Amino acid sequence: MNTISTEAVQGRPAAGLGAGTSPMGTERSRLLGNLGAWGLLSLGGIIMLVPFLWMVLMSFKSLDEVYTFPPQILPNQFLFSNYAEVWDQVPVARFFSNSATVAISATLGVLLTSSLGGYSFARIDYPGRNTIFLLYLSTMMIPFAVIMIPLFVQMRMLGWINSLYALIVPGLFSAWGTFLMRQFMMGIPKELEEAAEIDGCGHFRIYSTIIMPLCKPVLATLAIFTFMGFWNDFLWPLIVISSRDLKTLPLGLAGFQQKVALNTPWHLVMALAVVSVLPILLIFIIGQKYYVRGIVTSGLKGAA
Amino acid sequence: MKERKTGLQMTRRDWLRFMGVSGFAAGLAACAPPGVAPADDAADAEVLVDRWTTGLVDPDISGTFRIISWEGEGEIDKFIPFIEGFFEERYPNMEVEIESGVPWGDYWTKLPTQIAGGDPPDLAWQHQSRGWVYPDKGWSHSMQQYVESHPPDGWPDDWEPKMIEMSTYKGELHSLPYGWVTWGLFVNRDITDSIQEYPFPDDWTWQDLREIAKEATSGEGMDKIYGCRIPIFDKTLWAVSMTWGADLFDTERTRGNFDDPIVEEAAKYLWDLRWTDGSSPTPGDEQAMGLGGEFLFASGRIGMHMGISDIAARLDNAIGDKFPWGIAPIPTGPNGRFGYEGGAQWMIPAGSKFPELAYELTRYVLSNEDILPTLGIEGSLYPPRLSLAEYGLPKGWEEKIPNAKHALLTLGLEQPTYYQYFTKYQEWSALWSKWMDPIFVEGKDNIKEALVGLNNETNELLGAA
Repeated sequence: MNTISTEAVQGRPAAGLGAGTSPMGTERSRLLGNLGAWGLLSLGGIIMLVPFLWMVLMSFKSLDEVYTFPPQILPNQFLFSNYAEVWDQVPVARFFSNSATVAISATLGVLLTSSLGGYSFARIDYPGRNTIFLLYLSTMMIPFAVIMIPLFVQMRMLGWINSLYALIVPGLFSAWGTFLMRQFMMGIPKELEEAAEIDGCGHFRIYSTIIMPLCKPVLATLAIFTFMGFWNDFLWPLIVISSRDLKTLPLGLAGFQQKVALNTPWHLVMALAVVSVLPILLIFIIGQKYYVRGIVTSGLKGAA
Repeated sequence: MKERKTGLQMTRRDWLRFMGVSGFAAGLAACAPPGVAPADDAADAEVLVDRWTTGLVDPDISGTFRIISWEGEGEIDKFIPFIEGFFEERYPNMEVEIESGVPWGDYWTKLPTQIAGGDPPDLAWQHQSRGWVYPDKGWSHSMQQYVESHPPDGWPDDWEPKMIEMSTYKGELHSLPYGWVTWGLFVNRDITDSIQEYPFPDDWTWQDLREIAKEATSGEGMDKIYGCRIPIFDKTLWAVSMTWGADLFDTERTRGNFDDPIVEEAAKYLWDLRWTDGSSPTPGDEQAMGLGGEFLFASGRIGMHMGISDIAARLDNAIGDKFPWGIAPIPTGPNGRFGYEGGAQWMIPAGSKFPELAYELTRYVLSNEDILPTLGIEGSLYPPRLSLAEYGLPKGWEEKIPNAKHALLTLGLEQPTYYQYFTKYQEWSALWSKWMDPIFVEGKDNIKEALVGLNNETNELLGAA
């Protein structure tokens, strides 16, 4: 673009640009640039996809094929029975239901608390608002390992060790979620709120009927991130859960992998891994539009 | 105009609200911690009082007894019937909860957190690498008084003395061993028979191993056959150094000895196997092959694999009829043979709600000569009582690999000096990685410089600088 402007203004080709400065040349270089970019992105995509494909293909192999050297990509025969076998050996439905209970409850909770917090920090003026927000935000800087033991003590005092409450409740308040919601809400025109106030709306009415419907993209983003975080969480559930009946999928997967020390049934472990990834994949595919839009929008508005 | 419904009629919104509230309540109920099941039937059962009950525990005691282990289901399954049987017969009002299969690395995060957080399990699997760490930090309950007042069967003469030594910290017993292992060389006879007659002589040396490995190495790239696979870590360096006459630390573990010329010679020997001779695969080689450890040996591409005794039965399954194989003892040298490894124990974490009960259970399972053969019969760790140790060798191996007992157990015990872990071992491991990974993983050859660096920082850590 700069090249064309320079040419138009000065009436001569920019030095050193040669054939690239003609419309045909510009088109060609743009095409080449696009091809290069697409090539690189495709390569990156393939690199990202290979482990996932490997996991899926391995879940259909026999144990002998898993250990075949050199490794073969496709199974000789697709063994769907691996999925039935893993279902027989591990209480998959129980793990799945626990993971779903935790991830769904916590996601709903985070959406509620973060949006309320975000609304408060973005739309209501009160003394010390920004200081409180900064303090809240600073909790993001504390590594989980530091708060692990105090949190464990808290859960013990509440009698929640070895219960799903311990997995849901501590995660209901998210500084990152509040930050995301605040940034988005700050970009919503003040006039909408003022009009609602003139019509007699209070804060909760404005929050629920004006602001929240406009926040759908960022809510979708927050929901996907939160759900993924809770679904994949490993360390905290490992620490507080000891009953097999309360284990979530990542714990079940790790336990299953440990089942036989030398002869790990990797084909079955991979089948269980595929099962555990499916909900995340599904949610991402459904919410992809909101996810991308939410990231872009909140980023831009946040910077404004 | 919308007509408002009255009385017991329910609008769609009311119905949705009702369902929402009910669902939420049901969800909350599902999240609750599992309660202890009433034990009405159990209370009526006849309670067994026998030589395994110490009298320290009320037979009517009730609650949940929690056990934690890193062992997977395959290994823990053999303990479960005895543990459950113990409670059913003697303490029928107790519930037992066994958590197994906690990944090794995470186990050592979970257990201290539970102890520090005031809600530890009542019995835990302990490893010798932490044998001094837990008592030193006050994280384990002493068993000394219990052992003195109610000693386990065969105590102490029939118990493997080095394992008892490892379980003792500052004169107090803090755990009871449940099993121990020795090192050996698992030999692929298809590769080695033409070079060294099998069984290998008892007096073969590390130099012999190097020569056989060089000769057995052949081929290139993906088709390469490696003469040996010697895992290199501090304990391997220790075993070779000790054979030649030098320890890595002083006996009290207060000062490093990595600048000793013998230690340097041992490090150079191990380095040569990988980087000069190419007869032992490097970590990079193993990564490229996509196989490591025992799998690599089972694939038929390794002549001699150095491993611990409890892999023998599993190796047998993995190898099947692929090739004939045998076992050689750990090589010897001027200072002797160092093939003794050590093992793992049961301990009572500090803060356990039922420490006396935990000791009773430990004593019942780990010293009972009716139980120990079953714990060892899978070809697992050697049971802790010496008279029953050979149950740790896979069943029926007298015919299959006649020298297994001699190579692994008899010669493994020949000089039962063990690599003594110390209280700062976990911190020290980071120093080992810092100085030795460039040498043994990346193949850099400034061995002496790295050993001196490691020694200096070791002394700094141990307070000897």
